[in-house]
Formats: sequence, C-alpha cells, structure tokens
Amino acid sequence: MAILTADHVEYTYQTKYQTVYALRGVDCAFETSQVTAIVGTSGSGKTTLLSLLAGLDVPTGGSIRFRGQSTAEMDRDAWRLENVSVIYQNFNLFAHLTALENAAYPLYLQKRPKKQAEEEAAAQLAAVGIQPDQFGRYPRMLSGGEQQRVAIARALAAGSGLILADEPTGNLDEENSRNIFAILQDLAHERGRCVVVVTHDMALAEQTDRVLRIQDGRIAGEE
Amino acid sequence: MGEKERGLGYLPLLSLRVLLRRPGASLLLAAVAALGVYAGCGLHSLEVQQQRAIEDTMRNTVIHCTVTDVRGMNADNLNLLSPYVEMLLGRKAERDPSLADMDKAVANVNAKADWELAWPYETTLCRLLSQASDSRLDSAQISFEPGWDESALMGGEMVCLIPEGMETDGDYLDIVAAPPIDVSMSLRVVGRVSGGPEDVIYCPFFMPWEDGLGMAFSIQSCTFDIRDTARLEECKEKLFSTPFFVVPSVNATPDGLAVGVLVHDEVYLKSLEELRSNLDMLRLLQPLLLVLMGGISFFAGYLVNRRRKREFAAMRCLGMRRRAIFGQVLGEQLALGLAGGLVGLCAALATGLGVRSGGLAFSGAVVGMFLLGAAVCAGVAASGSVMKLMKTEE
Repeated sequence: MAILTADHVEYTYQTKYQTVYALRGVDCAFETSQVTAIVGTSGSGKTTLLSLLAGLDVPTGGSIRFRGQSTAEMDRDAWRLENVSVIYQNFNLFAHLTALENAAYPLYLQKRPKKQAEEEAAAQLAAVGIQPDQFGRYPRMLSGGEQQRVAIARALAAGSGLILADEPTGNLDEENSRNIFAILQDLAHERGRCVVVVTHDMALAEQTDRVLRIQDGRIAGEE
Repeated sequence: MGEKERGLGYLPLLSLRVLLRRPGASLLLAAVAALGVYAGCGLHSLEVQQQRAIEDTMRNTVIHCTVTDVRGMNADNLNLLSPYVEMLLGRKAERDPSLADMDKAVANVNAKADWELAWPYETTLCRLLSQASDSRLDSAQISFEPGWDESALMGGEMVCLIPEGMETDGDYLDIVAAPPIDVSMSLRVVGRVSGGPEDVIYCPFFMPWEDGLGMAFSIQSCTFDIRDTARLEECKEKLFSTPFFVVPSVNATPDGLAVGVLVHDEVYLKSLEELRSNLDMLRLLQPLLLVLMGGISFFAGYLVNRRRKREFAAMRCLGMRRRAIFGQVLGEQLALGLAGGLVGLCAALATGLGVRSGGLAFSGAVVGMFLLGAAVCAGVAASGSVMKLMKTEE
C-alpha cells in the first residue's frame, strides 16, 4: 500500500548565478514493507527528492502526499516528529549527547518521561547491535558503523513509519555497509516500515525491492 | 505514543547539561558576560566615586575672596570705608535693594581697621570682626573673662582685648586716640591675648566711638568667603550686580565708589572641570560598553553557534520547530549570561568595586545586551535552510 506519493513534483531554486531546475516532474509512490532505492549520478536530483519526501521543504510544482494529504498543507514539523525519520551519510548525531541520549532524542522531543524514553532507546540500540557498555559513549568514541547504528536506533525509537536514508553506507566499509543495509531491509520486511534509500552504490541498490533511476530531475526508469 | 510528560519535558534540562559538556564554548560565552558585568560595575563604581568627589569638592572647598582696589592691588593697605563691610554683611539692604540678601551670597567676612593711639603710648587700636580678621592672631591664644567669648567682636559694646602683659587700672582700660581724632574713652577689658602682638589692643568692629555715636572709618583689609560653592556663579552674580563691587582690572580707573573683589576660584573651578570631564567620559563609556557588549556577545554567540548549524538542522529533521530551537539556544545563552553575570558581580564585590543599585541596573542592561546579541544568534541559527545544510552531495 502506497503511503507516500510524489505527483508531478517540480523543484527549482535560485543560486547567485542561475535558476536550478532540480526536479522536473517526478511521479512515484512508496509502499510500506518495501525498500526502495533511488539511484542516479551526482546532481541528478535524488537528494532533493528525498528532502522533499521528508517534508524539509515543499515542491515548487506538483505535490507530495502522505496518506493522501499534501505535505504543503500540513504541519510538517509535527508530521516529521511522528512519522518520518531521516538517516544521513554523515550520521548527524549530536556530538555532546551519549549514544543513549541520541537515540532517545526524538522521544525527548515528544516529551516522553526521561526514564521511559531511555528504556525505549536502549531497546532500539540493542536491536541494532549496540552493546549496553557503549550506551554512555559519545559519538566520537564510536566507529562509523556504530554511529550509523545509533542513527538507525534513533529512527526506530521515533516510531516512524517512513524511514528515509541518504547514502546511509557512504562513510562505511563493506562489512558495516552490509550490516546496516541488512538492518534497513529488516525494518521494511519485518517491521512493516516504508524505507527509501538514496544511493549511488548499484550493488547495494540491487538488493532492494525496487530501484528508481533518476536523471536530470526526472524518473528515468524503474527496476 | 504512550504517556507524555507535561510542560517542557526533559529536553531543556538536557540542553543545560550539554552546556557543561562543551566547557570551552560555555566558558567563552560566560566569560564575555562576566567581563561585561565586571566592567559595568567598574565603570559605575568609578562614576559614583567621581560624583562623590565632585560633591566633596563642592562641600569642602571654601572660595576665598579678597577685597582690593579696582585694579586688583593693595589688598593689605586698603583705604576702604567701613560701610562696605556692612554692605557685605547685608546691613545696608534697607537702603539699597541691590544689597538685599548679600549675606546669603557671602560668609565669614573678615575686616580689620588699625588706629594709632596716643594712649597707651605706642599702641594701636585694632577693630576686628573676628579673630581670623588679623593674621597676627593666627597663633595667639585669647583667654576671655567669664561670660565673654569671640562673639563680642561682632557686637557693639565698648569692650577690648589687651595683650597678656599690659597693665590696667582694674577692669577698664582708658585709651586716647591720636590726632586728628583726639577722643578718649574707657573700655571694659574682656580678654587677654597671649602669643600675639604686644602693642595692639583689639576691640569690636562696630563699637561706637563715643556713647551711642558711630562713624565711618577706614579699614586696612577685608576678606570673605563665598557662602555656597554649589551656587558659586549665582553668588558671584549677586556680588557683582551691585555698583560697589567689581571684577578687578588693570585698566580700571578708581572712581572712589567701587572696589575690586578677587575671587580665588581658579583651582576650584579647574578641579571641578576635571572631575566633571571625567564623569562625562565615564557616562559616555557606559552606552559604548553596552553597544560593545552587544557586539561582542553577538559575535561570540555567532561563532559558537555557527559550528552547530548541522546540529540545528538535524533537530529540524527530527521534527523540532524553529521556535523551539530559538528557545533552546536563547535558554542556553540566558543560563550562560546569568551565570557569567553572577561571576562578574562576585568578582566586582571581591575586588572592592562594590555593587550598588545603579551598578546592578547597569549589569542588568549588560546582560540584556548579551541576550539581545544571543537572540539574534538564535534567530540566525533557527532560520537556516535545512535542505541546504543536510545536503551531502548535488
């Protein structure tokens, strides 16, 4: 069942020297329990599409709809808080929070009691393979793979149905990439989440349920 | 989503705890606030000191005036008629309105008139308003008879003070003025002078020469003080508004009516001008310090928060609202500003600068400027484009 759709999505923005047409009429839909890869060359518009899917901005043309409601018409902050988790290549963990606090952060935002938030976060950290003795460590004390696991645990703790990942394995070695990707697949297949992964790693993309190829701001093909 | 905590939740407390985990940045911002408050207290303390110095100078400085001729000379050899002293004392006001309230402009009037006596032989009769009117009495001791004191010199009774060693016939001293006055009279001795001149007999300035009969006489010197230094210009204006007292000038021509008055206020005015100039400078520095504090805190906050742009963007990605980020950054800066301000106040107390209500108000204004700078930083931090900040390629 498609929970997120992009209808004729266009996105342009102005730089100092020119108008950039980042997306030129993208149509696609994303379903629960499925991992979708968006692939394309640098500058093709895949990260822009992911940002629009995450509600970080609204399209300049067309619409993004979550369960039928346009993101342009909703309180996108509240929507993201309850429904969307974004995972980035460079993890974007808070440097001065411990692994446990990082994972619990969305729950703090939801104003859950501290104890309850941290119990849930601890469970999610354990689920992605972070050992309890690492819960109190700051991100700089963790490896790249461990940091990405904490970022995924943060996404899981938020309870979001929609998980968007932008080059989640871009900074990881092969083994860690495999492990992280396995976790993302597990999220979709075992926990019923809708997972969208932006990547330029074709080997990784081929392991997903569906691949959208984007080129010059348009969907060039689907596999 | 389960049970939700009421109010602000744990996040504000967490962000304050994080301040301790960023000691470098936190110390920098707190130090800026502490320095601002300390400098503010210091400036205010200096201002209070200058203000007090001005008040003390005005309260404790006596402006001496010397009566001279119209050219500013002959201060000790005046040929001044005694009614001028009465003018200074305000005793002539009923006849000349310009002299009204003259006694409110001047104080401590001293005047001395020496008359040569034919008897006692080789003595002088000195008419005085007070002991200070004759410098020869500066180191002298006067022992008054019971029931008498220095105020007798301001009265009009026919009494006198005689040198310690002078012999008299009982309680009275007979004197005879030298020609052309050629008058004799008997004065009650009310005190003796030791350590003063041996050939001078002192009597009250306004003593009638014969029973009930006064007359104008010539005096040698006259000085007085400005009554109120805080109203110096007003007192001078009052003094020189009469036709009898003028500002001395070397080009002036004596007209037999006016006399000069030298007002020795140069040092006083110069001191006062310097103090007021210092005070003006300090008052000018205060708004400058406020602006400087605002600027420094802005840039300190900006530099510290600039490195957190991605952190703020990540918060936005997680669903945190702009105003929540603004509130969090402002709250952090407020905590650091208050902590730094408190340290600054303690430092001011410890170093003896003192903290008064004015200093506290200024410190509050300094912290306020700090927060204003911080608010702008927080606004900038919260308004960044999340899409741009989170982009890793393209």
